[in-house]
Amino acid sequence: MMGKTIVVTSGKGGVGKTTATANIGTGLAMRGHNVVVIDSDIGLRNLDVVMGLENRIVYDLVDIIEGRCKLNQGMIRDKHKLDLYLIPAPQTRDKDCIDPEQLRELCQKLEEQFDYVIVDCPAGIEQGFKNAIAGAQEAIMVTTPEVSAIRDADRVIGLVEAAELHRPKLIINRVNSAMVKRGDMMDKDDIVELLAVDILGMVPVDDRLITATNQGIPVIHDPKALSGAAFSRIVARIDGEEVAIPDLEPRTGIMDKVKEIMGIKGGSYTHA
Amino acid sequence: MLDSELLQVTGRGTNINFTIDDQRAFSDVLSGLETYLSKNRHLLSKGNVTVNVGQRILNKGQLTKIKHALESGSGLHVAQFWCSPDVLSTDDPNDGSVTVMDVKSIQNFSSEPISISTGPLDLKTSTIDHEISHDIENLLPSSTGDIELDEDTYSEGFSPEDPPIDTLSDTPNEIANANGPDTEAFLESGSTHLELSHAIISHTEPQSNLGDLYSEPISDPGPLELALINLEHSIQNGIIDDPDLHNGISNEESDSFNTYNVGFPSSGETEQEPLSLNRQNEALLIKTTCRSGEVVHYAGDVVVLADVNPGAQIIADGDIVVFGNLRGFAHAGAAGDLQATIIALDLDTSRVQIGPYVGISPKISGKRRSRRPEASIAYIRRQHIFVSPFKGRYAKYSGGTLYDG
Repeated sequence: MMGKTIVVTSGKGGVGKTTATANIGTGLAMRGHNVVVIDSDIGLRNLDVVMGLENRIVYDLVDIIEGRCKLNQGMIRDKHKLDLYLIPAPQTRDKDCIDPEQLRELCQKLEEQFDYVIVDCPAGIEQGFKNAIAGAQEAIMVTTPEVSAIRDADRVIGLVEAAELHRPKLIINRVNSAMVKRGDMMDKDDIVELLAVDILGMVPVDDRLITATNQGIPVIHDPKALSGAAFSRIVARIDGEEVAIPDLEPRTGIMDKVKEIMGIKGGSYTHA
Repeated sequence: MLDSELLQVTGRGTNINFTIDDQRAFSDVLSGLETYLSKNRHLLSKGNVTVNVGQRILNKGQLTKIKHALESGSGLHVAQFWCSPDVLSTDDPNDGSVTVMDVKSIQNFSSEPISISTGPLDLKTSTIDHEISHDIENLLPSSTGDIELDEDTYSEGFSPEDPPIDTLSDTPNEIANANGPDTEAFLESGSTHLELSHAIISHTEPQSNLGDLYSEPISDPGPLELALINLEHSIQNGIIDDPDLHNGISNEESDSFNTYNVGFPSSGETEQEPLSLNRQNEALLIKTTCRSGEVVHYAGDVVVLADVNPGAQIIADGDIVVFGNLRGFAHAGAAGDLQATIIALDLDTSRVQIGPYVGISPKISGKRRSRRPEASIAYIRRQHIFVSPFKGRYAKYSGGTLYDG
């Protein structure tokens, strides 16, 4: 059975596409699927760093496309021995060196072997973006709850729908529920009202995610991280399960206040 | 009130054109001009005037007589004469060959040669040729910082790259020697070289009592009145003190947008051809959200059954109806229909355009969440864009003022 190609895109840079790609790929592999993730951000590669595989790169995406190496030689197996492979991007070329057709062919070839092909899209709406969406059947939009990111996401949703990738789903990253409660940050309903797409999941802002990234381990491996748990739920939804979106409510009980006074750090919100 | 065959007045942007008939005798023309000016004196304060003499060849004496007629007592200032290119090659048998005189010298009544710069013979257009504008720049010193014309206030004769023709006045020393007691005040004004009194906005027939200036607006404005009204709109920024605003229309009911006349076709980020030629009879129905970056051009009415997100544009020849939040840019009446309207369930945008008039919402900053959204209609009235609550087209209510077509 043929696999599915999903592109993770956003428009605005720095909202968490690469993190989402790494975690979704890892999560799907943890559930037993065959997954390959492709970094299509040619010239500014960072998916390999997030997954901790930067020291193992010999061949990259452009080598595969231009035929200098075989497909198997260009794929790097995941550190944790999951059924997860990475095709890194070259660092010395730029985004005009491949065109959409080539990437589409590659994705189709990969779909024969893998259940999921996840493409990490670069920021922007130019050639890199056009290349990345060429082979995809589904799109995942990543955004943060800020007006600038929402504006760019709106534009990109328009472009993605124009490219026949209908009904993209949305991940809202870096949600700070305390701010949402105060009214300082847009909440889920505001965002959905403006963007008019379905929500795939919300990922809370989490220090442990930054730590994990720096160590080269996708945060979904960390059992104590709330963002990792959020990504697990997102992966379950991608896989077809119905998982409810919990309310990321800040805890305001008495113990929390005591902890605040005493300076004990901990999760400041809970979820079902 | 004006013998339109004899003398035509057109104007847009920063100059008015008085166009004199080719064929009538000069004395007729002069007396017609003087009659017109005496009737309309109270409408004219200061301004720069370009005189287009068409095919007629006038000698220096006649030109100065015209200039004098225009300038005496009215504060107008003749900066330029336009004529047909043919004129320069033919001789006037009565007056000998045309001598070429420096434009500056007309002001000083000296006897140096005149240069009559040629202009388009089409009497209806008032857009200034780019060549002419460069002539002016060469002849006269440019003054810096006098007018800040932002792009919205240019009429179509200008492109934003052209330096603004902010003053056509000469160097201060020569101006002081020129005729007219108003020229000194002219220089001091600095900020605009064209100051029109507010009485122009609404006035009645010239013979009426001047104390009734704030009565009904003109039903059929002549070209001069329209020109002057357009001039003020395109030069002055900010809401003009429209006296009708105080008569029964409260600001809460119908807000008027800061309105600028940007001329045709619609200025904006997109390039397009004018839409007027293929007016469609059917409306375009859009059922999905118009997202940022999407542009809809249609030569007819447009109905959107969803939101128009910020960054999206809808440009229609007819009306625009949005059954949702209008947060993007809507341009109704793109071919020039001033009766076009924009209706939305929530007119939350910062900018709309109807015909040539761009409106900028006054409530740009501040907490907009507290505003309860209500169905609104934007329309043109008295060269302003007004926004009123909308409960059905052509509804007439007894209290308040709603859009009544």
